[in-house]
Amino acid sequence: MLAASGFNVTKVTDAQSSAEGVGLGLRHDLAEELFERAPDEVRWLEIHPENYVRRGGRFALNLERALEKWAIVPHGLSLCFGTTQRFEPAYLRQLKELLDRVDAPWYSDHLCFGGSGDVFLHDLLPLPFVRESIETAAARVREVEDAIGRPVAIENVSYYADPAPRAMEEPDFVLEVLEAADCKLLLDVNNVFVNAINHRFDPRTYIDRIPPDRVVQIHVAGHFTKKNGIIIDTHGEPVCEGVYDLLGYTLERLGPVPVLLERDQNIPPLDELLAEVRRLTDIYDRAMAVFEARTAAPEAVAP
Amino acid sequence: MTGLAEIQRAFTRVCFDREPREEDLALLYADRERWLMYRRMVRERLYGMMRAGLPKTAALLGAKAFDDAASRYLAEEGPRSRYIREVVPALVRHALPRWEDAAPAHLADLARYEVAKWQAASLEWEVEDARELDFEGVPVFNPSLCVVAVRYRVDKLTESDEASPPRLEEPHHALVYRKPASSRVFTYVLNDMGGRLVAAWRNGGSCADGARAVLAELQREPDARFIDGMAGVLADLVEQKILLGSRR
Repeated sequence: MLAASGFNVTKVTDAQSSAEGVGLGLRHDLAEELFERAPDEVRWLEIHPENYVRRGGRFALNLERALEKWAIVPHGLSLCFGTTQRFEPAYLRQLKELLDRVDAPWYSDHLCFGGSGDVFLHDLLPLPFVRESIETAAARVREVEDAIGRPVAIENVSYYADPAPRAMEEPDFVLEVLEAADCKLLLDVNNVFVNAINHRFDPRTYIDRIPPDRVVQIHVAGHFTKKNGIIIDTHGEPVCEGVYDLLGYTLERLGPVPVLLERDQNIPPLDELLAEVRRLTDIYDRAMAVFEARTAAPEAVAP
Repeated sequence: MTGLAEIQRAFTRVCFDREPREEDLALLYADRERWLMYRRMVRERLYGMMRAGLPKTAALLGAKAFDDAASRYLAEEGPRSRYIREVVPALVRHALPRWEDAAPAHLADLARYEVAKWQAASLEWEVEDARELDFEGVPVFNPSLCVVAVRYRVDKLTESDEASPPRLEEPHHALVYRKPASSRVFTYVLNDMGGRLVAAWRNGGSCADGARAVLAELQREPDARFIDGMAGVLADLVEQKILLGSRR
């Protein structure tokens, strides 16, 4: 008989029980300092399940320590919902085990494709905005939702080219997938900003069309502007002013949705990230005051 | 209009072929330069992961030869696992037939050893419940253990070492592993006899069965030298937490 793992993950009672406010991605470069300092401004942590499924060593140890203080929200990288083949049942079972262990409120992955057949590109590639993509994504979302027994959220991705002529614009495409799959949305505000610059549309108009009840989480990140003017979603720079502004606008409209600061490249000292987290928290708090005033207003004037 | 599956196949070929084919780029709709930018981004991410897992192998080969091996792997095989970390062992499996006979002579040993370190660092710690080691019992090994046969002490190399270390007179066996509840990777090197014993003990029988199998293979009697050597290996393996005890 197999004994329990040497790195058992046990949820402790004084850990933050749900993802609220501003969170940070658990990155191994910063993990030790993050655990030692346990800064209160980081309210929850996001993990990539692919780094933890059936894995020991520092990954299992870090997860165990993270669960002692923070709520954990999983965000996948490899179950791209535009994949034309069904996902492997074995991986979905392993994923569910991990999600159960961390008591995940939902599982999110990307509205994109990530390879072909059994070959993985390990990147997030754009889907054509056509009916076949919508039907494919809806089928994959339902497949994952059935397997893991909890809500699934799709993330809007940044894209630099259209792989086929558009049958619709990006917001229509995302909304149609949400409807067809009846799923949730991880709204990446940085990706909306990046796409708005690269494809010349108004990001606030995009945000205005998002149904608030679908949004379970928000991502913000930094990006890199190339010499030719195209913006690349690198997660390797500080968040820019335009994204901060768009986040405030989005939160005022959506209300209390947890916000995750993504930083995967050029990871700076923890204090720099915490300064960004504090700024995001200020924006979050101000936006909540506006949201609450707006949503409370009809009652105030009611006879 | 081109179907979704065909778009995905064409784009995968654009990324992984040695040179992207014009007919694939033509199949994709937008500006070909944008697709070539995607190709660069996809390849750079994968090359970065391979270099991270094989830093000394990459330094020994030099940037051009390492990137050529990576490029050939992508074109001829490509990543088949959803775990990006798996490109490290996959590249080495793909390249080893050419690296075995290549110069410098210790290249293949070094690549295999770095893969063992990469894998031992994060293998799942799932282990049978063990009691104290009993020579007549079935041994329980550390689940993170990876064993590599080597003819060069590649575990002693630094990234700046360019010359081949001297060739060992007999094969040695690098045991690469983590200790319980630790994320640090250790290496313990055994000579040929020690390596044969470990291989036999990992076959599922008792320690005594394993010892008898090695003696039969070598057509040797269990003389005092053999017994002393084996006892020393067992004691070291237990002390190093490579051997966790015997199966209950």
